[in-house]
Amino acid sequence: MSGPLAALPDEELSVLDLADRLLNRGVVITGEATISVAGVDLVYLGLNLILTAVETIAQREARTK
Amino acid sequence: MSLVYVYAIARGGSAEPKGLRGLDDGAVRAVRGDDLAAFVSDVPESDFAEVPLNAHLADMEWLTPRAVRHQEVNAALSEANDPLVPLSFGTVFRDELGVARMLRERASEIGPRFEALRGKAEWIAVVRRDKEKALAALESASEALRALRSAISTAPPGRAYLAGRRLEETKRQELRGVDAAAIGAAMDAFERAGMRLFREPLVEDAGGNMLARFSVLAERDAGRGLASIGAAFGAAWDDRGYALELSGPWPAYRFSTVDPT
Repeated sequence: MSGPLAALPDEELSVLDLADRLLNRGVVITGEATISVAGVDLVYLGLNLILTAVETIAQREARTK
Repeated sequence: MSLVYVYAIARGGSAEPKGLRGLDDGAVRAVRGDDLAAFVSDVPESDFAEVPLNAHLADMEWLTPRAVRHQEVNAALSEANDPLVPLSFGTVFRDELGVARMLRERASEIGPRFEALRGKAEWIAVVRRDKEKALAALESASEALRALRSAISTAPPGRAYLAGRRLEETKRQELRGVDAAAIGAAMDAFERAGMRLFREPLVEDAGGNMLARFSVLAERDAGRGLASIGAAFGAAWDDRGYALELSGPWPAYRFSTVDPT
């Protein structure tokens, strides 16, 4: 099997997709209710992360070229 | 002090993960509660308590390798456990007792989701539009635009200005119509193949010419079927400036959170 189900996403697009899958919906902390990260609107947090990721990747690419 | 980080939830009879390493290289183990099992590893409170975790979430250098590890763990767990409910990054409990209590308290909510996810994985589908190309295709295909252009070419200046405004408005409207048709064509193709769709909210100015974004729930081995849907879409829509991109298979992160009914 190939793809992210089995493999490490190492392509540019996959890092963005990874952030989308893992972070876009927000970080849900439950249980003893001692920790709550979901105080902010995480759709925006997700977007920020994605945009930051684009910049970071662009910078990395610039460095490696 | 350490906290307990949860990657995913499976049925109670699931095997203990062997040799699987999670965040910060912690060993992944199962915590059991009634009919469910959670896959967890210990993480340091100094990084994963509320305040430091919130700070880290804005730091891609910190976050990226950990998000990748979270995904690797869920990829491995998906291979060994079907169905699996994968969780988002950052699901943290004070201790194992809290995890076990969550499993008991939420069993009736999580249980029904398993059936919807059995044998399934999810893909991200994005409809993109090359605006220049789409407008050029519109110009050559649209009668209304042609008529307006010829009216402008013969009209006196004052009228030409108004007709020009009308031309721009007509162009916008027609483009919206073609956009809707392209998105509809993509949705139809997935639905005809019996796949479930979840329309993702689109953030304004997301960039990259993104027109619509879906999560698609399909059989784990549906990769080829999806690729041919993408190719068929391209064959029909590429000339008009539209493309359908797919990423997957992913563990069912999104459909684990979507009500199965």
